Amino acid sequence: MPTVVVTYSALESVVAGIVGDSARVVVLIPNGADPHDFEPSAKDLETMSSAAVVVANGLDLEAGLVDALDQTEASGIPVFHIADHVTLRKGTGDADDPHVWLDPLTLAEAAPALAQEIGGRIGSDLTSAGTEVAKSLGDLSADIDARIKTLESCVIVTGHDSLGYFGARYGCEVVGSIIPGFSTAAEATAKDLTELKTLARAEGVKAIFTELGTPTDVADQLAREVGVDVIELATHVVPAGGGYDEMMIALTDSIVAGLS
Amino acid sequence: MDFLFGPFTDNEFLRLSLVATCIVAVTCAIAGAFVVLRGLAFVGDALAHGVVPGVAIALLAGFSGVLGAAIGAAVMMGGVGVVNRRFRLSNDTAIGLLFVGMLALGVIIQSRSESFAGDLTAVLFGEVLGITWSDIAWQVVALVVVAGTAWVCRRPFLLLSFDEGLAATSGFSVRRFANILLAMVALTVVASFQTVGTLLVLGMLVAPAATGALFGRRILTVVAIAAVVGVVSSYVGLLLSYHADLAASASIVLTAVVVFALAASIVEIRRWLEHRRDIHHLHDHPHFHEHVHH
Repeated sequence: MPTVVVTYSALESVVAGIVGDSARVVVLIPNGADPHDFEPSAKDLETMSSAAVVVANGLDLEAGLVDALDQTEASGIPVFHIADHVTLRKGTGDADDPHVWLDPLTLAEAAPALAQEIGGRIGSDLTSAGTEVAKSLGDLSADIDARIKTLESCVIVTGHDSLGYFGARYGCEVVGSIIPGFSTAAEATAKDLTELKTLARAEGVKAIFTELGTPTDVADQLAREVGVDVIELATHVVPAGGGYDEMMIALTDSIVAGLS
Repeated sequence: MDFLFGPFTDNEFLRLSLVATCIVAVTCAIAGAFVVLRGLAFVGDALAHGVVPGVAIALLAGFSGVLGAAIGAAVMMGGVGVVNRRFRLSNDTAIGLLFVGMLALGVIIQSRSESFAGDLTAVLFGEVLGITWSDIAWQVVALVVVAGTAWVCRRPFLLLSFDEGLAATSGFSVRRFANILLAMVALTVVASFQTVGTLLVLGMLVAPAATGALFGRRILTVVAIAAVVGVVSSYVGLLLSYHADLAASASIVLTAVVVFALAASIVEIRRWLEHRRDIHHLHDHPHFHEHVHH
């Protein structure tokens, strides 16, 4: 059976939904590991080189995989970058935000092209499966929207700038983050932290949401000074026994619980 | 005034950072003076990286990162001792082996774990802006132990630093005190890595003490100058991080290195001026000149 390699776990169930029984889906980055930091092993490179298609997020989310992905592409295996097929948003700077999977509707934009790409490589027509997955992502989005609507207001402080697409879609204002930027690899500065503290107080932020790669001690200290709790968000971790849908619902519920 | 003190009066996190970095600066000044005099910079760096797998395992298993770091440092020192004594390999080869071995182990543990709570960036660069009072309590304990050890062992440590042969003939165990000194450096690293991180802790250990060694003749003077340089660098570094939006721990360490560079320039200029004065002196006294020629 042909293999489709996906770089990180959040995408696994979505890609599995498209390929159904016609291919095996293999995840490269261990669930819960930081995609910004991941370095592939030799075994991982072998897995990629024997894949029918490799599905990646793109925009250097998989920073340690960039060379390996280039190499794979050069050897004739198509690499499908989700970010090439969706409407991108920019952050405060000029760079494109790579966190496209944190909004189901943005992710759904890529589903038809993804179904066509994989279908073409493994020789089966996956068009209807692609439409089906896009539709179910739409349902998921409606569910998230309903849950966020129960909040009076949704004002968010995060660890790094990961919730841009989510915030834009569901009307949440992301006032700032502990490490401004899309990568978890940067370090906090005293200036940013002070400004964030002032903003968080002024905006009446009710919780500090952290993700994978947030400096935990810094987040704790900030929360103490603002006088709110730290709540860990599963932005990069699929819950045990679940898939993308369960991850997004868990994420939404954590935000709703934190802001209620 | 607001420019200089405002950031600290307005923000508790910066006050805590300043307190912690100042305590660490004094601890590093004491241990660093011996590191510079005895030439232990490489083993200091190796110890700093030897703690990485310990911290990674501690965070995975859910016990204190400080304890994990201490275990890592102990393994590192034991390993260096074994390789060094058993296989007649030079000290720096033994240190190098353990250094890269431990660091590689740390990276592997970190990258293959599926639920690593902290990440490598935080270990390597520290979380100087996330200091708590319990961190500070640990650092005070470390400072007291390091200061006490250095005071009690000051004579053997000094002999070790200047003349190991003489140290051996003056009737105390060179190996024992070398190990105590190493343990003291290890404790300093373990207590300090939370603030500036394992990658930059060497800067706090070496740069202020090296500045002290430029001016000081006596060990106490070296330590005192190093402590002042360390404390000033901590303050200036945090201020830079605040006003210029720079990474905090890197700003502190870079300031300490720049202070050394400035101090070294002053020493160099002074030496040059003295040299020139001597030459003038020579030309102003022709008799002296004749004397030389005869």
